[in-house]
Amino acid sequence: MKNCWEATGCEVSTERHGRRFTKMAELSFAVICSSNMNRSMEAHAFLSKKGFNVRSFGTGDKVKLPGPAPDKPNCYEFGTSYDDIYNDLLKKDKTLYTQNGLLHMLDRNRRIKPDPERFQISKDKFDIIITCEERVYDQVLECLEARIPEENTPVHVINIDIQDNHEEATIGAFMICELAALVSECVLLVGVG
Amino acid sequence: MSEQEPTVRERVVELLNTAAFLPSEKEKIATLAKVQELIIHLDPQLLDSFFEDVAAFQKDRNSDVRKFVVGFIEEACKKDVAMLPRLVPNMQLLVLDEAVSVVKRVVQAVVQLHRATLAWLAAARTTTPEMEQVWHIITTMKNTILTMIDHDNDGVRTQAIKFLEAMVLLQTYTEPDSVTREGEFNLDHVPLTLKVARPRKLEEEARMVLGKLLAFQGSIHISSVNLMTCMSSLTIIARARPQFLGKVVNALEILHANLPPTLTKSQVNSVRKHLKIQMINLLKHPASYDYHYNITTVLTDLGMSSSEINKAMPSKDSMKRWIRKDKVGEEPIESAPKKPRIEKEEKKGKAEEPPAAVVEKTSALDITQRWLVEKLTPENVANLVLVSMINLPDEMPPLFSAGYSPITAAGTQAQIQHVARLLSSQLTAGGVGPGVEQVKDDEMKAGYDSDDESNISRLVGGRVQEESILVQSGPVLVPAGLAVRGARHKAKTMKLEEVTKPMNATASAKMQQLLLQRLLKNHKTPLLGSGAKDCVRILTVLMGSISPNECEELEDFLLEDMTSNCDLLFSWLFSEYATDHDFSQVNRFLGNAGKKDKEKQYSDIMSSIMMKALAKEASKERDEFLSRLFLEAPHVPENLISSLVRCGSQGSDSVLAAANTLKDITRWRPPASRPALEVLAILATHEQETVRDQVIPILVELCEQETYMEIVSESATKFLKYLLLEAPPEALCTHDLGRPIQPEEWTEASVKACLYLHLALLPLNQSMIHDLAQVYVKTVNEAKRSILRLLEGPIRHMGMESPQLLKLVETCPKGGETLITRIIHILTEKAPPSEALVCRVRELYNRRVSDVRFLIPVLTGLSKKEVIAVLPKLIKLNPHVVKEVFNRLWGVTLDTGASPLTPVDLLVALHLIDNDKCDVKTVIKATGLCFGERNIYTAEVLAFVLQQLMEQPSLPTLFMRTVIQTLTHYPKLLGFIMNVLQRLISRQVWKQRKVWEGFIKCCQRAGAQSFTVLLQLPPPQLADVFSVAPDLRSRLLSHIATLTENQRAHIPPSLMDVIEGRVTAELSHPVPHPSEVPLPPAPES
Repeated sequence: MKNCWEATGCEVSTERHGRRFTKMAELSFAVICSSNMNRSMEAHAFLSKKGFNVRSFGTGDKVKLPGPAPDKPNCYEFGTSYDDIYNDLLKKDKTLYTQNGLLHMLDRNRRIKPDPERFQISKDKFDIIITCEERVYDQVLECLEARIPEENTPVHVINIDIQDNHEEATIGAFMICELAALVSECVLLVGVG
Repeated sequence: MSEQEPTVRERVVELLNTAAFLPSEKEKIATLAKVQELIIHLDPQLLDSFFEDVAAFQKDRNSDVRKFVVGFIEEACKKDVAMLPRLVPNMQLLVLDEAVSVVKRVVQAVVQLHRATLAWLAAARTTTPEMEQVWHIITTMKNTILTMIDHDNDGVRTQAIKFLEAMVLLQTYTEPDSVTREGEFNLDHVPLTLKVARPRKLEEEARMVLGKLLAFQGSIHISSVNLMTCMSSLTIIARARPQFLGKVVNALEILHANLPPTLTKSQVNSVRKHLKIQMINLLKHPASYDYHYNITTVLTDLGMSSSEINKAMPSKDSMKRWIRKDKVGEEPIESAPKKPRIEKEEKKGKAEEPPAAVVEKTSALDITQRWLVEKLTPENVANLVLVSMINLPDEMPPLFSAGYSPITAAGTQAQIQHVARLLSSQLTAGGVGPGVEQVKDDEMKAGYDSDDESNISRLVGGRVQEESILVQSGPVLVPAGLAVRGARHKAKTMKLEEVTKPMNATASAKMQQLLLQRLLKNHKTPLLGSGAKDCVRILTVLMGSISPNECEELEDFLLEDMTSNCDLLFSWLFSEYATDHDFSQVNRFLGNAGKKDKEKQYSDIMSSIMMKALAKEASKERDEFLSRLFLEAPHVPENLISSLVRCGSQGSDSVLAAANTLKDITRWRPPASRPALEVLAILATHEQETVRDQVIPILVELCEQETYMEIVSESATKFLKYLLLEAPPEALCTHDLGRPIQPEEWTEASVKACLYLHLALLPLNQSMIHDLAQVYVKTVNEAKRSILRLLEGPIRHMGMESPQLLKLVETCPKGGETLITRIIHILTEKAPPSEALVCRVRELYNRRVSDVRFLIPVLTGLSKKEVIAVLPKLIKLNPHVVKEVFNRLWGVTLDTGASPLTPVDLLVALHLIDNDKCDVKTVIKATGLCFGERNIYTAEVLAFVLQQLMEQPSLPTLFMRTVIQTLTHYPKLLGFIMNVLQRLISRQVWKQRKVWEGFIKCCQRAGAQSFTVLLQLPPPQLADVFSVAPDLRSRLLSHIATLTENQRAHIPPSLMDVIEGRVTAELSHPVPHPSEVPLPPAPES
């Protein structure tokens, strides 16, 4: 957790009747990384296991996964299901992707939700947004700032820098969970709820 | 549907009923959320029947529930505008809620309601009075929220900013370049004919609000979160309403150059990052074309490379389109950098009456900038840099290191422009420079016109309208769910005064008395529900209105059972207090009843209760009661506190309780702390040790606070000064202090009483030692003794380093020498004297007090020379003292600290003392002391001493005595001593009479061993020896007889003559009488 940025932006969305009030009892979290694959999904899995109301997103243009060489990544459109990606990689090179853990990760992801989601398209509201990288934080802010607000619901955007690999993602998930627990406890949080 | 309806309705009813009695807020909210889902979304027809029930929850104690109600109202009003008149009044109450979180939620919701109401008004064909009322309420709320920008709570301010932003967006017209949200409602959709809310006035208001936002962003003390919110709000406004773009860019520019000084490093980072995002967002907007230069400069400053900036620029096409469009709309005007955009406004057909156009003048910033560019010659700049060098801080501020990016294009025209711009924004912010002045002038000129205009419009429109609303006899909107239902069927009220007659005064008084007695008798019997509380209340009021006689009775009654009547007593006291201070309504009521002046005031009651309680037998219960009384009563008169002294005669438990009470009074009732402390201080002079032991620690504890310390010290000094009197004063001799009889003169006990407190405080307040010294000098002997005896503890605590002690030693008052000596003694008992102390004492000794005893404690701190100099004086003192002195010098009492004199040095020094300074007997006594310490003066040490003495140019008188004594103590040194004797012969020892005598004695003692020495003497001297000690001759003869022939040959014949008695010595000098040199005691064995 080298760098922590925090900002209170204002999120906007079209109506989703009733949603807000079921959430009043607890905070809603969004965990966001670049591809909604590793870091955000690790945290998503961990937080939902701990009973938090959490969703995850990516902010990149495409879902990018390491390929056979650094200059040849596997790219997918957002919306391609984890299942499809899993099968595609299985077909391409089973041993390679088993070895680098991609298949395992995808297998976990498809148990959590059907497909990677792009934050910029989402219209949902959250109390706390946690980003996993400064670039992602910038993109989230850019996206939020670009909207013309309607309801002025406040949201906290917090960045925790996490390197994009399995180990760091696991440690990062712990940190995010700790932060989420602390924040949930803190009743005095400005502007939440 | 018809089948479903009853079930839905039933469910809603059931849920509402459950919600009302659910204890947990979470569940309550969850249940209410279900209701909301049902009546707003599932079956909106039900909304009308149930909204009141939900709204009624706004009275709930929990703020989360109230927050939910706000959300509900927001949803309901958005769903059905008809709800507005019914629910908006509720909002008006909620906006004043005490919970900050609710207020925040309300501000958020009012944005929606405001918009919805305006839309509702705009859509309606005719304006009903109801609508006007709603609008009126909304306007009031709007004004309330506008002031919230200065709210105490940061979060509320944040919401207020967003509210202002929404207001600006709602109350202005869109432009072709506006970024808009789908289905956004704004001034475009409001018909100009709308009378309640005139679009022109609304727009005017929006401009005012924007000004407020801009000013808020520029305030110095803005928090980082609000600053960022404000920045994004302004950007949103600029993008949605490009007419304000210039102002916003300008404001952001100024902000960039003047970040608030209160931000921390990471906050500065955040704000700069945020600023970057805002600037990029503005850059992307096509209307920002005119400001590209300003924006890119700021972006470059923020560390963006030109390629990144180019990426963020809108595409060439859209820019071209923008420029062309501008050109078409514009008259050929001079190429001013800022183009007024009035034309575009006019182009829009919607507005029949053009909205008040802001002609954008060249801002103060620009004028100053231009003025500056001319001034920035290399010479000027160099001077500026040199001058400002002086003002640079020693360390680089975090703001700078975070924000600094190296200047790439130094010296170019662009950079000069940029520097000028930065300087200009600083100057403008500071309110100086030609730009500011010019703008001021312009405003002055323009001011008259606009003022006139606004005055007129207000007269015609706003004012009149407002009044009409007030006069209007339209329906009054009442908050839903809050009005008491069923009030419509009001029963005809019975008026009491109509059916009763006033009672005469005596009867009423009697009744009152009876009632009071009865209530008092029974008030402890348990009553159901709130009965007990009411009973106490009634009693309290009655008690407040009784006569003094009854008062007495009442007090007795209450004190009979102190613990259980406590509540009643306190409520009475409080009511009396309130009456005294005219706080209570009851007072007025009673005053009307004919009791203008109360005979018994609060303080009287208080004191009589107190006295009665004190007069009671001491018990734990009573002490607790007293403590409560003192601490919980609304006010405690000072004289009552003094009366707590009486506990002093009531046993130590009671004293402890009183002392603790006093302590608490001191702490918790600051105005009464002085009397409380004084009483405590008096108790500290109590005769009994147990009492003192309890009180003094409490005082010492309190004295950790300086203010208390002063008061206590004052008292302590006062007591101390009693010692200056001839006999103990009356103040000390009271029954309460355990001294019922005033003694004629000071006794040890009474002296101590005056001293204890003072001495206990000494370590805390060291300057008090001077008072003690003053008193010591003047007081009676008895007191002096006591002071000296009791001084030890406190002085130890103060320690040698205490500056006050050192000062005292330095300024020793006349007659206080014994005190000082004692102090120094105490100080040096456990530790070697410090440099400072030694220095002070030496000074004192040299200058004023020549008593050598003064020096004893610090002996080890003096130099060798000094010690030797005072040695004669020292050994003249009492033998015990001498012993003590030697002990110090030997380091027997102290382990640490090197003595200036080693044992060897000491003994040598003793030998060398001049006879004029000290007679021989004293010296002999002193050396005797040395020989007594066999652990220190071992054989080796003595040998060393003899060695050193031998080296003296003339042998000291006592030398031989010491030699003999050494021999007596350590026979094993015989050989060494013979050696010494031999060397003495070479020094012609017979010339010093006393030494010679000693020499002979020594030979006698040594016996056979000395023969070799004797044989080395010249014949006359040997003869002399024989004359003094004839026995030696025969022994020597027999010794020679044992010698071999050869050995005998070595003895010179002249000597043999003497030995064999052939020659009687012809003495050149008479033999001294042996008694002149006292002999050492014979060996014991």
